Amino acid sequence: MSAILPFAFPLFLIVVGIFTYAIVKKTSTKLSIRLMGMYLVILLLSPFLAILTEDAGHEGDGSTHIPPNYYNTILENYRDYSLEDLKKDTDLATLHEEELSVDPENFSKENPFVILTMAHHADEWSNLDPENHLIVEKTDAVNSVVITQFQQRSFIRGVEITEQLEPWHWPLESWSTGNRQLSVEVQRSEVQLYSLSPLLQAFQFDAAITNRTFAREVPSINSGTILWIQVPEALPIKLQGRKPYRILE
Amino acid sequence: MDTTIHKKSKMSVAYRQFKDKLYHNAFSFTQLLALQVLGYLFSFSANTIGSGNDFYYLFIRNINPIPLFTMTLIWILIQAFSLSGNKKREYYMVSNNFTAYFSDIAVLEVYALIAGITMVFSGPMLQLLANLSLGPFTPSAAYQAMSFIHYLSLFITTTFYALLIGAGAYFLGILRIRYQSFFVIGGIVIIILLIAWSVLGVRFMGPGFSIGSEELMSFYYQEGNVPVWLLKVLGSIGILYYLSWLGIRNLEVKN
Repeated sequence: MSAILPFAFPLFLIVVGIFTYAIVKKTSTKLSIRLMGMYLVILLLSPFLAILTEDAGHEGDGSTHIPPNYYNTILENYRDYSLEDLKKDTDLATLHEEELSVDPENFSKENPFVILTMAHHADEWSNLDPENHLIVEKTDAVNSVVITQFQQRSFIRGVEITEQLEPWHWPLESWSTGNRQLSVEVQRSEVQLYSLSPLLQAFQFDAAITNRTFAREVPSINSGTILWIQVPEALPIKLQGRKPYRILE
Repeated sequence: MDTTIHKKSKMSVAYRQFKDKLYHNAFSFTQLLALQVLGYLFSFSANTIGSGNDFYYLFIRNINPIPLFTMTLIWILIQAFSLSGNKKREYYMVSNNFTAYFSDIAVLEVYALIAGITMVFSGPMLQLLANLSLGPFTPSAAYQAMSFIHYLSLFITTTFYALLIGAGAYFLGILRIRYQSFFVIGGIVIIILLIAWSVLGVRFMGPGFSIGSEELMSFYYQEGNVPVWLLKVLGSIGILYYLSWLGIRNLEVKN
């Protein structure tokens, strides 16, 4: 349905256009002039109407005041926050919450529960620190492994795209040795954005701006993910993958 | 010279004819509306660019008014061709080829102005439609960089390009009604000559030689110097108008 939406209004206009074409062809020129007059009035009003309807096209409240790499600031001061604090933080969105049933009695120091993480790759858009993205909390507050994925609310040119970001999957794998491993499957998010370009000849006499503004730039995403994993205090764990982890004990 | 029956000057008759044509061809406005609606539709499905890494793939669907501009030029092309061929109205009894020519050109200029105005507002109109019908939407950096001067530039260039296309189509239309079947044969001959020129050009001047619509467009489109651009456009329009006048001045009007 959402795929049809972009074309709904132009299609509606086409139907109206064909209808009026058929009507006007058989009737008077006056109607044609009136239609053109109405069209010109709508065109003249369109700048104001565009401003009035601007918010309707944007998701969320359009706030873009989140500092760049805000999630990194949290990771640097991770001891100052609790999981609940992050859930209340309006600059973060909770993308995913998952509870995995793991019985601590099935594990020992020799046979620990393995948490394998894949670090962020260096990312040209968001300039993410490739390693500081995981907080593991050992706590008595949970009896199973609880994974919460936070996403810094993300924008492209002021348009919020957080809802288009896919939460990551956490499959629990069993090894032949009897070990069980928690690893992450990163889901690649496909973000769609509509952008409006002007007619090139608007800049025909402004060569300085033409090359700059018409360069096919990829806009930056101010984005970042925090993974908060709570494990029962009694569960022996082993962290594998890239370090450092942030460990709350 | 005044007409002996009505004691009206040529310009006065031409002016009346202009007003009459503008009114009786009002259906052309509906055609403009229909074509521009199509243009708006095509503008929404223009092109998509994408880039990504392991974590994101970003699709930017670019709403581009070029199809709308093309549709508007097609409209003026149709109108110019139609005006040049339509010499059958009763009021032509009090007119002559000059008044017919003059009023046609005046009507085309009004149409070009309308084309210019509609194109200036195409951006806000697309923005309005996008706001109403799309999800995440943002104006591009280029669109946001547009100032009053850029809008003025857009209006002037679009109007003159519309005039240029109109003048070219009008000239072709005059050739068509003047030479009728020879026009088709002449068109075929010109196409053959152009192909031969391209082939011979590449043969003797090397693979860098090319001739085509892109080269013709860049002659105007890539000219950034205002006086030179004006000279090119006005010169071309003037030549086409003059050629049209040569074609129409002693044309025998058939009812």
